[in-house]
Amino acid sequence: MRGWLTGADGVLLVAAIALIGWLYVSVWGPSSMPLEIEIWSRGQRVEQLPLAEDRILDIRGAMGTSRIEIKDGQARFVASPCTNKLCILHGWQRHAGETTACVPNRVSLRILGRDARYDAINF
Amino acid sequence: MQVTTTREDYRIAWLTALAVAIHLVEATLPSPLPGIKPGLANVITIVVLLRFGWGSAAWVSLLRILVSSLLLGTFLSPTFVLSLGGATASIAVLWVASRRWTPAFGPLGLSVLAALAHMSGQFGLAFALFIPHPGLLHLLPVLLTAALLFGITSGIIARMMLQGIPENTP
Repeated sequence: MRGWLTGADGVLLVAAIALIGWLYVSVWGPSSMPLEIEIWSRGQRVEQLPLAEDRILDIRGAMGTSRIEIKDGQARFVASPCTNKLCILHGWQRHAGETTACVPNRVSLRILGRDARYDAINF
Repeated sequence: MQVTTTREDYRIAWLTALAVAIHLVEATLPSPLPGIKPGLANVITIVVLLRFGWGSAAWVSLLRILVSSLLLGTFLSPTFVLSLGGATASIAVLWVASRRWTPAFGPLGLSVLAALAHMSGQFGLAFALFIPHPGLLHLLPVLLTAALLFGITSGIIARMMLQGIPENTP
């Protein structure tokens, strides 16, 4: 390959490959916007927190207190005063746009992010 | 009225004809993505730049875009605008790269620079004028990868052609 590349050519090629690689990562890589969780109670938004921080929240609802756990970038209901416990059975939520609600207690949580998934798709 | 032509005019006309021929052949090739094509006419621009200087290269490049668009029937269409934008960006970058105060690039480096500049200019125009949608940005790295690969290919061809053309061709 002698005589094919000048020093400047070599530097340019390396720089071009690095630039394009960086573009791939920044355009196609995971969304840089951190996810957040939004909690609603009795028609009002009561909390908006980053999903990255682990914590346990007690939210006062219409019937009593719902306990919501945030852990490892996901969130779920761990306790609620309702009878069916559907909110607890719905399990962990981790993707932008996902929602869980304890309807009798009027408490809901929703994951916020830049690329929200569709709520429903209709054919 | 008498139009006096110089030796250089003839040379530019011949080289432009060659570049137009390559451009037309390439226009018949199917493309996987709009905006991606080998751009082998770029070889002529690089060879002219290194043998006859930037002025001739700019003439050959811009005349090629104009004549090819007239022959293909795309003159003043969006295709023409994008093509002209790409060629202008590429010629501008080649001007900077061929100055004394910039590092000495060989045919490969110049070809890669021209290809990347052409693609960026074209993409920038397409984004600004025709499709200002952030989704278009997802295509940019793919398009630039194609430009890099085709730039290297053109550079290798240009280098082989230059070996066949003596240093001080009149």
